[in-house]
Amino acid sequence: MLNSRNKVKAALVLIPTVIVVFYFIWGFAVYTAFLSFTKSRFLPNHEIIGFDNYILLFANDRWWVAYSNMFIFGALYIGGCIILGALLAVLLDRLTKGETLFRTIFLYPMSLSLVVTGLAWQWILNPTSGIQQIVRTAGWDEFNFNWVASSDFAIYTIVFAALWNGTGLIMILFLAGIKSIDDEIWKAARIDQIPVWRIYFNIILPQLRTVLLTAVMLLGFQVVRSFDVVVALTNGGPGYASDVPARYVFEYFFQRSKIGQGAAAAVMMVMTMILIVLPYLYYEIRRKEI
Amino acid sequence: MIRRYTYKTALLYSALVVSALFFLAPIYVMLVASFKPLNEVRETSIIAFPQNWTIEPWLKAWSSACSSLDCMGIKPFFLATFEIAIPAMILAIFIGAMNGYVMAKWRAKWADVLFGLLLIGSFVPLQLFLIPLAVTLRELNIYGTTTGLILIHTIYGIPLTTMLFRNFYITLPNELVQAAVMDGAGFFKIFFSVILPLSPAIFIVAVILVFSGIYNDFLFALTFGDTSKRPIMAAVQNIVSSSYGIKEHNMNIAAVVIAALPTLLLFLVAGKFFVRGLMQGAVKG
Amino acid sequence: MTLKLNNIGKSFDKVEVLRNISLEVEEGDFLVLLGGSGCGKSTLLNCIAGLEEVSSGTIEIKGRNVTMVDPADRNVAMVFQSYALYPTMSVSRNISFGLECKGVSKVERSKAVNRISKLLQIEELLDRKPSQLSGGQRQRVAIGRALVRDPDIFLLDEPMSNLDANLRNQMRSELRELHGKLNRTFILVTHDQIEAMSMATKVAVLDQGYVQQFGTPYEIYYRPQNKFVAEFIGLNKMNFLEGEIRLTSEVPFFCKGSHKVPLTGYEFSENYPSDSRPVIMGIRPENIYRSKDRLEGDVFLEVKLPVSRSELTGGDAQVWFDFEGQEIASRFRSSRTPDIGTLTTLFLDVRHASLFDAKTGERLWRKPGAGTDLLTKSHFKRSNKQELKES
Repeated sequence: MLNSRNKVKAALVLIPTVIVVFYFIWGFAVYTAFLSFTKSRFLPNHEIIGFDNYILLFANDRWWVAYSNMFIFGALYIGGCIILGALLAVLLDRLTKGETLFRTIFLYPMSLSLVVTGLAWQWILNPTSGIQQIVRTAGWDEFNFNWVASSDFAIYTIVFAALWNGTGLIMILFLAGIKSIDDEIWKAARIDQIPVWRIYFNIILPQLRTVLLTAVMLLGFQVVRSFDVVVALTNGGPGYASDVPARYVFEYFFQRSKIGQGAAAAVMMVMTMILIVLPYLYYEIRRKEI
Repeated sequence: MIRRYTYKTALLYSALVVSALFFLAPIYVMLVASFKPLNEVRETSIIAFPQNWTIEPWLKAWSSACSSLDCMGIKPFFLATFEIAIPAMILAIFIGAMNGYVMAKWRAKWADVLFGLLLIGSFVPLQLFLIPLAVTLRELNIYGTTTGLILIHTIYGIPLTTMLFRNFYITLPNELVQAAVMDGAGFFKIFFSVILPLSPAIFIVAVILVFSGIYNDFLFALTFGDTSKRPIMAAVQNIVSSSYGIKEHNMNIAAVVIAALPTLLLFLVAGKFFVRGLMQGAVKG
Repeated sequence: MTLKLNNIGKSFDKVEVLRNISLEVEEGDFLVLLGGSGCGKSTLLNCIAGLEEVSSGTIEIKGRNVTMVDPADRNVAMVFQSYALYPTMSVSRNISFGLECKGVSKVERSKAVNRISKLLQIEELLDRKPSQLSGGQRQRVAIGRALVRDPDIFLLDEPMSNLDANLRNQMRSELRELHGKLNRTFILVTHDQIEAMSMATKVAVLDQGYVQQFGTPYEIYYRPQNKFVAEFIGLNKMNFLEGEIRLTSEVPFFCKGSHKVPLTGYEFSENYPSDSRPVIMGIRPENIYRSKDRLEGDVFLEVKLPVSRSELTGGDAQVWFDFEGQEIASRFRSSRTPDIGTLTTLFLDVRHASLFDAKTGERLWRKPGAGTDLLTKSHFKRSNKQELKES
């Protein structure tokens, strides 16, 4: 074979990554999935017990709280990021001066970890000293904003924090998309006397469908994995009112020593992600067929 | 073009300013709290400017804040994080660069398949790795050690670095490598003499993204960190949530701000690379 | 013999890109691989270079079988279409990189660089980076990089496609000069027939992975082996007249409609038609005359045709005539262009025509290699003189 010396070296270089991919990623994933069917508790146990873990999981009210929280949080977070991100991108696009300044302001939260984000918002939303207190001292004695401590509303606090952190990236994606649209379309639209906001709404944004879909998918994945911000802000509380699957898994693995159940929950997380990807794949396949 | 200050412009700017306030509020509130003495923190509103400025909360946060174990401040954890992040980052980047070089310039079907598996694998939630990782680390006797965390972050940094470098090296013309082959350059000579000198930009992006990713990590830190040397995110969360008697909010907040500083500074200094990297990462498909 | 290709075949994933390529190149030849996009010429060049592995066949360079030999050990050098200069290296390092890889000493390297830069007149550019050079300068550096290795064969992949028209002319003559000076084998890939005709000593016309014809530029032009080559070569496209050959008498006749002309003096081959069959006569615009005086032999077809359209191109004009439903083109002085519809008497010089089988497209002529000398310029001296006189 020609160039065999180089080709052999090239292949050897990839060996560590082969190990990473097959053992540390896919091997581990399959193993954990396997564990979801076993009697593992404190330590992995390879005795298979069929779907028992899943039955227990689905019978657990806690799990459903966590699972539904994921969707509530997800819908608000994704929707919020998209709408706010798109809005901010449009606003920035209209700017003639100061774009860099505003862009930095909207983007810097992205550089902060979700733990810092969660802790910061925990501080702000603290009932005794945070926003509730400010508004109360300003005169509205009855103002209630103790969502962090409320079973019903705790999950929404997570939305604020996550939005604050995640909008920046979405805004940048939209901004890049907007700027990549041909100038000529602008000129044509202006000549047709179409008002600016309509240009954005009816002409530009529809062209950003791919950006939109990518954004939704990425955000969706983030939602399924959100662990840091939940632990930092509410730690799933009060009680387990603001728990999410990612944290549930962790708790069952390491605090409750019920590895089998935790694994089942983890598998459910992956299943949900696959569900998210399906519409995207479907869209991609349809697009290529056309 | 003459700029006209219509009401539309005013609307535009006010909308932006309001949004800016939303984004700036948390950091303002935290900074302000971190410079207040304890009594002020408890008595004044969170948006009030400090009246008696003090840097004591910062000093205490650094050297005497209490975690669940003892009161060593955030300093040991801060340093421990760098001990982990820097070697892991270097290894992950080095391996990723070579991977990217092979996958982009020495194409083979199986290498493309490997890349595909790597790409999809990077979407798998980390929770799925925790137990097998724990088992593996225990077998290797590095559970709970710095080495263990370095290994973990290297391994799970490789998908990101490989993607970055592969996507970048694909944009380099193949004829460059072909010319070098004609010149008699070997595999590594081509990498070091031709490819690497063209890579500074992507290296910066990789450093920023990988470092931030490791530094900001919480899950692995929590699971595999030795309690006396945990990485900073786990440490700071622990410090803030441990409650012994009176909660010293100002110190806790200062600790959070200290924890936030490295990546924030990195962003402010090299923000454009940050953005570029995230865009490249996001537009994978 | 510097290069011998034996039955080269190359496939990419079941797609056959090269088929049955067999060529022989002598020392000092300037071979041009000519063809349209997708014909496989660049792939063939890469196979010769060793950048691609052939799927079948063998390659011999100076008698040595190099089919499985790495590019660097074949003693060939290549100038890439985009020049592929190393962007972060200085010009002098670009040139000497190959020597550097071979472990040549610094002293020797700089001697070589000086020698080459003097030859190519790029001495002042030695410390610059490629991004600081113009297109023409970059090409010279690329050539220098190839030269410095003193290879047996120089491979050039469409080296002039990135240059503007003026530079191209200049580069063409410079390359010819270089070839003459070095007297080494050059193999150049191009889609531009002017480059082929003006620089080559041998041309291989490629299409769909096959060598359609391999011969001197004059052969290619005056005796195209098949309809593809005939159509491809020639600034003024060859006219193709559909008709048939009839063997009613001793001499075969070409018949089109009511016109017929005996084919005495037309050089047939083993493909001498044994029965009447449909053929296509190819005749170039410059072989259609308005007066009998310009004819060479006495084999011609006289027709009276109406003008269908004309197009002015400066001093000349292209005039089309309607010949039994087909259009044929001819060249006139623009001052003497007849009006549309005018019946004009034309003389088609059959001696310079080409007959192709209507079905296969193959030339009805002696195939080269079967004992024929390759036709050279001297064979056509007389006809060239005639044409020069008329223009």
